[in-house]
Amino acid sequence: MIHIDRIVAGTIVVTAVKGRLDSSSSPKLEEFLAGAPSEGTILLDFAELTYISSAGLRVVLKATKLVRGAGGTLAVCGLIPQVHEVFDVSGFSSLIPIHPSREAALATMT
Amino acid sequence: MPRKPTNILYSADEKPPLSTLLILGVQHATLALLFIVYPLVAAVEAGLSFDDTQVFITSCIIFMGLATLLECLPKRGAGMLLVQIPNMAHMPLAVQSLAAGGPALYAGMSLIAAVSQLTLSRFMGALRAVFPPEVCGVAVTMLGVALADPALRRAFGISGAITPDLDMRYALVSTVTLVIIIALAIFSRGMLRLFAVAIGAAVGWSLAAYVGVAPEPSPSFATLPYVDLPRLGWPGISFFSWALIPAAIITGVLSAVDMVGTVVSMQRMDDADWRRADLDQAGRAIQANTLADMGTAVTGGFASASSSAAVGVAFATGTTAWRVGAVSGILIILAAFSPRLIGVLTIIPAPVIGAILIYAAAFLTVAGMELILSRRLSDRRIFTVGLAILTGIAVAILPDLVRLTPDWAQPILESPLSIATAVAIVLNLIFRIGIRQEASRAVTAEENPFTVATEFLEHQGDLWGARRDVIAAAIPVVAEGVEMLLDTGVAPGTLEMRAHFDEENFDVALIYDGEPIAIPTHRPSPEDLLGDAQAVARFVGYMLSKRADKLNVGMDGTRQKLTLRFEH
Repeated sequence: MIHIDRIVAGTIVVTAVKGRLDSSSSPKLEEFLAGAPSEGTILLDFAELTYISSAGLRVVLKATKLVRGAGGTLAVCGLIPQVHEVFDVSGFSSLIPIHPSREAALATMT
Repeated sequence: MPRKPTNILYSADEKPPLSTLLILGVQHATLALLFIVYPLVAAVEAGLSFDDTQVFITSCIIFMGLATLLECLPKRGAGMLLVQIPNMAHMPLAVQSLAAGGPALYAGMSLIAAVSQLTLSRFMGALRAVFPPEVCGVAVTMLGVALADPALRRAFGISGAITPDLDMRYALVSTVTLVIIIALAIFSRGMLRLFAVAIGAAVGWSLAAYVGVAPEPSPSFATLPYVDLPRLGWPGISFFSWALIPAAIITGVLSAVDMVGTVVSMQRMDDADWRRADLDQAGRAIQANTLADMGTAVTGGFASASSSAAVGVAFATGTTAWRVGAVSGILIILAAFSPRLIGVLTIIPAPVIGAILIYAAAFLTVAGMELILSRRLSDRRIFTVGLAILTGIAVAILPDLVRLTPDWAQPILESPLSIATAVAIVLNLIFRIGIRQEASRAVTAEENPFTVATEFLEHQGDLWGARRDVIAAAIPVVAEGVEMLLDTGVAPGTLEMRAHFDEENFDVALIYDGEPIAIPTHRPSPEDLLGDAQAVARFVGYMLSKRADKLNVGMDGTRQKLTLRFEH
């Protein structure tokens, strides 16, 4: 079960993901992100993401490479402790900027 | 060394400045000495004389201080901030044994309780199955329920049968005292909150004196010196009451369980990455407490245990340094050198004591419920807890039923604490019959790994009474393992998920036909997630090894077996 919303906040495109990101739901996020402009600044709001598996991490990694390849920036925000642990253990914390909340991310990125 | 949380200023091994040490030490010692109300109530209930009460409390204070000092010291003790207070779990035992056989019988029963506590600390792992948290929770809840009667009698000034001409001055004093304590504990901050009980007691005492319900000091009170060598007694030791021995053993067990709870609370506060209890450290704290309890028993005093209220003070002050505890231990011992101070403590008005007991009873009742709910509850466990508590309440509200039983059984049966805990232990052991400690189910590639792992592990967790946090931590890790094995094709099409529980560990094995996966010791590059099946399996294998407490790769017959261990 996953629910994805896109919000444009100034020059930043916020993609809010709600639910679980695993092998069955990550293709939906991959498809969703592929349809978004890859240049500019992308913020993945994971405040309501309750679980992420390696399949979800793979989608985040692909999106990061795509955005950076186009000269843009990708960051994530609002990780709950369980999801933050996955980012820390996998090394994604040092690969992708992580902000505590959407407000903090928007304040830093604008 | 544990990572210090951001809200802690001085962690266990840090050395605060001398002035901070003294200020915090005084606060902890003052708070601890206020709980002298417990042995005081026991002494009044048992009808001890003024002189016997002095010895009873002096010995308690001295060994409270010594136990605090011992527990706080690194290596020999637990090396953490633990402050002793009179042990409320000892109240029913003290009241019953003092009334039945005087100080000598209470000394004997205290020694039995200390030995049972010491034994438990040595076999903590083996006895966890007999005393799971819901059984301990029933006991703690009933400690609160058992306090209701003495608390309410004092709050309303009732000494015998309830009559229509209640003296409402008692109710006024107890209500004002209770309202002040609760209001300060909930709505105030800083020093006011830290001294909520002391301020409430002081206002209540003043009001009691004003309305004329404060007891007059005994004639011998005026002769008590401000400073003097403490008087310890030698009451002798008696074990003659066989009926009280089970209650003494249960009291020791409850005290050990209570100590574990306090130690774990402090461990959690001091370590930002805390995941589970260090039972060795808890064992050292219990052993230090046991030593002090034996000392206080033979010198005619009331036993003590580490204070959960001190945990609150440590949290509020952001200081968990063991040196603070050591200073408060010394201050508590020094307090025993002031007979006048102890004399003052022995004439606290009854409605003030009643209000403090109501506050403690409310706290204990909820603390017990918290322990009960720390485990997942199956139908069997719900009835274990429900029937045990109902039995305890039945004894409290229908005491005439108990009087129909043989004389030798009455001291055990009339205690809501003893009977409820005994029922919980027996039902827990009976309801364990028929529950296998291992269960398994097949998982196919068509199923959602997270849903399957959640349903299977939560169901088994309910049956086994596993900790909620352990099951919650295991579910995403197991789901990740299942997803990786099935999605990468390492386990082609299907695998077996097999869970095993033994109180110490919660193991989940993923068993499949196929190739073993390699578990790297260093973190692979995240780029591996975009690689082939083996690269993804290696990456996920590394993550599993870090997220589970232990990861073992082996064989189950001809099949591969990936075992994820979660310490319980």
